[in-house]
Amino acid sequence: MAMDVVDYEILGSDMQYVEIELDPGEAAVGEAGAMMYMQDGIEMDTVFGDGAQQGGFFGKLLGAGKRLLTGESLFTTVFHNEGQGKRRVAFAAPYPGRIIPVHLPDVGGTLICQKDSFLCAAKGVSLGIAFQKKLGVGLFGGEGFIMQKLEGDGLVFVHAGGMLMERTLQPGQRLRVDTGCVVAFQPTVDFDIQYVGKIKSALFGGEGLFFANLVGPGKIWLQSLPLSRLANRIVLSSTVAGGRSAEQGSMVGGLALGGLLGDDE
Amino acid sequence: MTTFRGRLFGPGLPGGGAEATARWLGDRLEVAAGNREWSAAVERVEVAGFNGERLRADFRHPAEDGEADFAFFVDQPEARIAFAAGAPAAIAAQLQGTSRAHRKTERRSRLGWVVLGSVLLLPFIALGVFLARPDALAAWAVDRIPPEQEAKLGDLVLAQTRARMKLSDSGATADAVRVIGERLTPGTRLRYRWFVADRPEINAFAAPGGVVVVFRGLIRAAETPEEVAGVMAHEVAHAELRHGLRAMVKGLGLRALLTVALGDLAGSGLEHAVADLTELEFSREAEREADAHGLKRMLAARIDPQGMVRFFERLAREDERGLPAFLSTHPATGERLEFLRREVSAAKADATPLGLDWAAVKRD
Repeated sequence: MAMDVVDYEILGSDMQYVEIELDPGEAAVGEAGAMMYMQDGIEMDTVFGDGAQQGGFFGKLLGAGKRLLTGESLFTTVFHNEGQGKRRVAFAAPYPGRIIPVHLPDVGGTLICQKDSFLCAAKGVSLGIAFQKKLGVGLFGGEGFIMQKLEGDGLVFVHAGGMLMERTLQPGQRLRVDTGCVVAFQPTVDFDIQYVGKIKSALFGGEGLFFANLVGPGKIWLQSLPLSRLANRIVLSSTVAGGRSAEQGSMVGGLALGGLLGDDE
Repeated sequence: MTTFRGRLFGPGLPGGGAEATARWLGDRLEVAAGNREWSAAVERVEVAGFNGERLRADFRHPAEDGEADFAFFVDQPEARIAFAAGAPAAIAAQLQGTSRAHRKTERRSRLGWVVLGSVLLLPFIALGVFLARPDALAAWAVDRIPPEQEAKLGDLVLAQTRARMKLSDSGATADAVRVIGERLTPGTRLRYRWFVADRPEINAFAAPGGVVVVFRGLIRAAETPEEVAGVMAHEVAHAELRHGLRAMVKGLGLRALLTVALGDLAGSGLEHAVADLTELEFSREAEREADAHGLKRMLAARIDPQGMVRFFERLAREDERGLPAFLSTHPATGERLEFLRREVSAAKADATPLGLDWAAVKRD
């Protein structure tokens, strides 16, 4: 199904949102709960599936099930411009990071991305599963066995944590990436795992046993800070988990003075 | 030579590749993308891309800074066919290799999933096996339960029953029940406890470990003690044959397997199973067994078995529609009556009457 052609602007630096401009009659599809604001004239509708499903009820059910597996919810919200002129709807990133626009025809019509990274797109995009068939990659590659596959001929917006980097790999060019830092890639890129090399590095290097090995040609998108890593750090440094509070000078100070003088927790 | 479509990558081309068409010209591949053309000998053909789903042909070609690597992807099935058709011998050989490699990956992936799937499906398979042959499994499991555990279960049932109705184990009625019971259970390994429940229903039941409860309604409806003895023999049979335990194991086993298979199931296991025990629905098999075994006991105890038959008949006649509780949990009463009649007439009944003042008992 041909996708709507939409304009957009991405705002923000580390906690971004994308504002999509729709012509009359056009629509944008967003993950449930991602909408930030919408102008008069835009009507919101929730559909079972991604709105591009052509099949009957069972086809829709299957599609929805697949989406559940990829980390999306069963439903997507469609924002349709029913006004007279151009209208805007904005979608916000759910955690610190960046939004990247990808024009699917530039990458051959299909983009493989990590679970739960789909944010929004022009209507007509098809959200499916990319099933990792290589067992090793699925187990140790950092992305699991299930990734999202976005297909279409228009714009999609993908979100990931930290700073996002786009790279183009030339034919045969190889990049070894920390597992978990791969956000999205064109399906012409080989995604493989490679053993770290030395036992010492494997045990103490902090990178785990495997690298993700990306071999070109094609475009790849990498993130500097996967959310899980950020979340772990936050949890570990909370005082509940035994982390240090910045106020503490000494143990006594932390308990007594800190409490007396007030905390802004 | 037919042209086929694909995607070309390399220096001077967009990072995400460019749509291109190509064809074979002798040993060389001619690719056209945008308004440029490349002609080169293909060095290598490989399965490439995510999951090795795509076919990539590598070649070198002069570019800005000398020779550079280019990659041409052939994706669509029609394109692959055309690509294979015109390929020179060396490349065709490589193509064979690629399909082998692809199949190997597929095979290994499938194997991995079969293994994983079997592991995940194991609880469901166990469930299926359980549902197919519940009796054999239950019987095996029950044989492993020691009598002390059985007695404890009986205590539990007793406590539950006491919470719902008044039980007496003394008085004329209770004494009569005990007398009959003891005559029916000589040399038993179970420690029987005989109770009378202060309820008007015509009912009686036995719990594991030897707890037998007879309802006052049953006593009142019986004209002779032999009739009550018949019912009690049936219940004693249930206890001796451990039917309660078997049904409980089946129920629990099912629930346990379900919990493993499906995860969090509401409701605690033992409590419910014990509650269910007091209103068990024995399987027909169990009922038949109990009938036969009960009859044997009656005969062994030299109690007139006609009592049992007469009682069943009278109840069936008196109350056609609204079956008393005792009968309603026991399906196929007609069949059982026939069976009993046959067996009783065939048996040599050498009976000693139960010397009980039945009128006094009923009055109690």
